Formats: sequence, structure tokens, C-alpha cells
Amino acid sequence: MTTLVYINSENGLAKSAHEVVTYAKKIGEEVIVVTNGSQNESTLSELGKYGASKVLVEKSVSGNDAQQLSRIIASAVEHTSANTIVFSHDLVAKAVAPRLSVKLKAGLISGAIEVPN
Amino acid sequence: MKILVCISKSPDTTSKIAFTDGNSKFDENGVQYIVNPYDEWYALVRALELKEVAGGSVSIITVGNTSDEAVMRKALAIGADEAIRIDAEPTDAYYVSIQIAEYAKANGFDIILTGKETINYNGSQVGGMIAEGMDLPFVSLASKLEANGNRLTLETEIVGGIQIVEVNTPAVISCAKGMAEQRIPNMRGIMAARTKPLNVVPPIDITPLTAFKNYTLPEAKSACKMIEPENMDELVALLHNEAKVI
Repeated sequence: MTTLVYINSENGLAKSAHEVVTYAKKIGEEVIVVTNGSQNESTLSELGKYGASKVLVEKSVSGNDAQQLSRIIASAVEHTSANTIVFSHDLVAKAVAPRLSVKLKAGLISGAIEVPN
Repeated sequence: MKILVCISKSPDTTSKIAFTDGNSKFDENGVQYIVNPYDEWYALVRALELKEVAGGSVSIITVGNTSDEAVMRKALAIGADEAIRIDAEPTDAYYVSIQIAEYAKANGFDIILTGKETINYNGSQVGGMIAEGMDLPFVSLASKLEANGNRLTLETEIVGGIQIVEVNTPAVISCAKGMAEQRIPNMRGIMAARTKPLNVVPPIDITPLTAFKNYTLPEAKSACKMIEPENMDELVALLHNEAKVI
């Protein structure tokens, strides 16, 4: 079972990025991170310590436009066959996750505080 | 400018929260409902301000049953021109959003405004879902909105600051604190609201994506222990052994 995690790495990796990968690792066997922007490999490879096996980077898209980001993440879902997508409950996710939910016809749970059964 | 404002009802913040049917349903007995404050204070009032400057109309829309009509009348009393009620149980955010998106597509609005979230579910889902359902741009958590023709300029909160966003209509905006000041309906507005159109529209066939299984109340707060100021050892011992924070 693959879990996809979206991380906004525009300003480096926040503590919430480590937390969300740790959370995703509790859900799925394989955790793949998708992000955008220009963070270098050494910064992103840090996510491996928390359980990520792969990081997909879309370098051509910067900023936090929800329409573009939801397209990137939907494409990553198709590419990885992930069945769960995890976001931090932050400002970017509040714009992107609802769009992605409709695009993929996938149920959206906001502000989860436990790992699903 | 033709503006659609999405309205949801929320329990008044003084309501006693309880559940029925094995904690699977919210107990509405004795609950007083209000217009969700983010929908009312920010989305609706800013829509009215835009109409007062540029003309046009402000419609409100909700997905719900006849019990929602009291809060819809309040929104009409504040100044909305007409109300639309999609006659269905608001099962989940996806169901609500696609119902609204389909109505909005068929009726051609320039701006669709929502509150940033409801105070009972705190989901922040409906605005983005409507935007995706209509393939429109979405600006989330806007605290300022100015319109110049079909060009909208907005301020939104981002990590560590404020972002200025420009977008062309049609667009979907979720409204946060700062967008407008609360308006209290006056007697004239309350009287006028009784005769303003409230159109009931049948729902389209949509399968919800999520379901609420059950609810639990937060654990009751434990009693407060008072420690004498000079008794520092006891305070440290309690923080270490009971609260386990040091």
C-alpha cells in the first residue's frame, strides 16, 4: 500500500513536513513524497529519515497556486497508484486538498488526529 | 456584478452539545442555530459592500431542509436579494459543494463567496471543492477583497506573512477575518426579508464521499489544584509526577 504525502518545501522543510511523513509511514508500507519548487536534493533526502522512500519534485511549478498543485499531485497519484494522500493541516493544504478531493473523487478528512483503522 | 454567497447554519456557541442514536447523530433538541459567522460577517457583508459600489445582485445559497429557512431569512434581512435552498440533507462537504457548483454553473455568477470554514465542522473544504467542481480559480482565506471591473485583488494569509493575489472573475473566494465588519439587520431589513424570494431547488443525484460514523465529546477538564505560592516543591512534584510535563 502506497501513501503519497504532499509537502510544501518553498521555504525549506518545516517541522510539520517531518511530522506528516511520520504519520504517513504509520498508514502505508511505502511513503512517497511529492513537492514542488527548487529545494536541493540534500534537504529533501532528509525526509528519508522519517520514512519516505522516494521524493518526486516538480521543479517547474513554484508558489502555492491550488489549481496547479492539485494537478501535480493528481498526476503523482496516477504515477504511484497511491491510495491515500496526506497533507499537513496548513494554509496550502486548505486550498489544495479540497480541489484534489473533487478531482480524484476521493473522500477528504480534515484535521485528522489519529491514524485510520 | 452577480455574487453568490454560500450560507451554512451553525449551532449558537452557547448551545449544549450532545449526540443521539448511539452517538452517531448530533442532538438538535433545544439547539438554536445561527448563520455561520464566517459566512455572515465576512462573505455576505463583503458581497453587499461590493454590490453597493458596483451594482448587481447578491444571492445566498444553502443545501438543507426547511429548518434552514430561518437562518436564510436572517441573511436576507442583512441585505441579500434572494435565497436559494437546495432541498437536501447536507451529507458531506463534497455533496454540498457539487450541488452548489452545479447550480452556480447553470446560473452564471461572477463571484462565489464562502466563509473560510463553519464553526461546527472547521473543515475549510467547501470553497475549494466548488472551485474544482466549476474549474474556476480559488483564493483561500482572503482577508481583503477589492473589485475593479472583472479584476479582483485579494489579500490572503500565507506562512509568515500576507500575499496579494489578483484573479479574474469568475472566481471562488473563501473569506476570513478582516474582510468586513458585522452588520446587524435593522427592522426595515427584517420586514423586507419576509417577502424576498426564497427559491427551493431539487438536488441532483450525487453520492457523498464520506460519512460520519460517530461522535465523542472532548474529555472533561480535570479540577484545578491550587498550590500556595511558597510551596514550590509541591508544584514541581505535581508537574513531574501527575502532569508529566517536566
